[in-house]
Amino acid sequence: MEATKAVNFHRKDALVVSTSSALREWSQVSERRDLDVDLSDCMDRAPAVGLGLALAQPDEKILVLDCDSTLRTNLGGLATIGESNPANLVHFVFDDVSAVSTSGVPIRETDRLDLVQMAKSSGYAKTYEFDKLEEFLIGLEDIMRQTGPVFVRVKVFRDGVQLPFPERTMAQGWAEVRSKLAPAEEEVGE
Amino acid sequence: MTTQEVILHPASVVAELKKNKISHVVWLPDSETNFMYQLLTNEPDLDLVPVCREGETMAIAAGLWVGGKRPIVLIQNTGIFEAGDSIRGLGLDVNQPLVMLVGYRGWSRHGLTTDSAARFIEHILHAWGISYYLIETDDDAGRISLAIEEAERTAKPVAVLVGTEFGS
Repeated sequence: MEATKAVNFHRKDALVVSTSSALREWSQVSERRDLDVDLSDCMDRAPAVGLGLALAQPDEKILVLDCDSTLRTNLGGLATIGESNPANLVHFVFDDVSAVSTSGVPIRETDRLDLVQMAKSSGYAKTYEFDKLEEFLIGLEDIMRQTGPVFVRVKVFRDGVQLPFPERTMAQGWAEVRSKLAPAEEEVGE
Repeated sequence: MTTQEVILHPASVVAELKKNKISHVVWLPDSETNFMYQLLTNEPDLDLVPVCREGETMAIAAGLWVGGKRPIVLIQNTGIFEAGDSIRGLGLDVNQPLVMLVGYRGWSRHGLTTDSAARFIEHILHAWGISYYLIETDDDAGRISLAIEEAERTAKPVAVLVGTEFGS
């Protein structure tokens, strides 16, 4: 939770796409839910939704709050982001050493995956890796200044308490965000 | 008696997309869309977004749509099977008016349809309650506009099955 709190402190007006355990935490700490795109379903697709937002809103910062377990199910998404090369995208991956999302069942393949190297070779412009919260808190300011796509792996330990997903549905939340971003679209077809 | 060439040119499709102010084409590169790719790369009003796997297309389109853009998806029918969960969760469940241009691999008006990708696709679309239109020639291209209109009116995905390979 401390890592997501730190992201919230630095987000300013960034649009945030979050999923799985990251969403459970983020919905508790975010102070701008009107700019949050939740993925409580299709949780492997947060990077792709973030890419779409980044391309649609090139002047806004887009933060993707992803998890090691969800990224593992769609590793090709790294290459897709690298190919499109969005300068305004920061992709955080919270690497949960306590494996809360799988009720403590370890995902052994994930332990052996070097996600940072994969992001680098996929074309991310800058990568970071943090094993200690204190270093992440210090590094966040620098991360938010970088030209993307940026990949950030943060090792986290959760205490086993599974927070709830937000009460609003994805459709409700997405409609709220879209109402802020899409007014120019009304001109289409005139 | 003369015979008229029956063919679907990429230019006819692109003209429909431009008429409807489509902003992005999210697609999986494949051999059947080669001519379309060549045309789209020279089209300043349409941005191409390539993916590694079809299920990403609906998600990227969803982000574009939430961000105020007007994307479409261009994939093959085999990709619809791969992308089922994304169509469900990021199309149908979030009311995304997404038009999917879908290559109808294996389909023909003539002879037997042996390719299971062709035999199953319409059944799958029926099962999901997704409307679809078939285009085979330049004369059919206007159905893309019908699909876009229906997707926006119903706030649901709509498919356009491309029943022929693009001509050069």
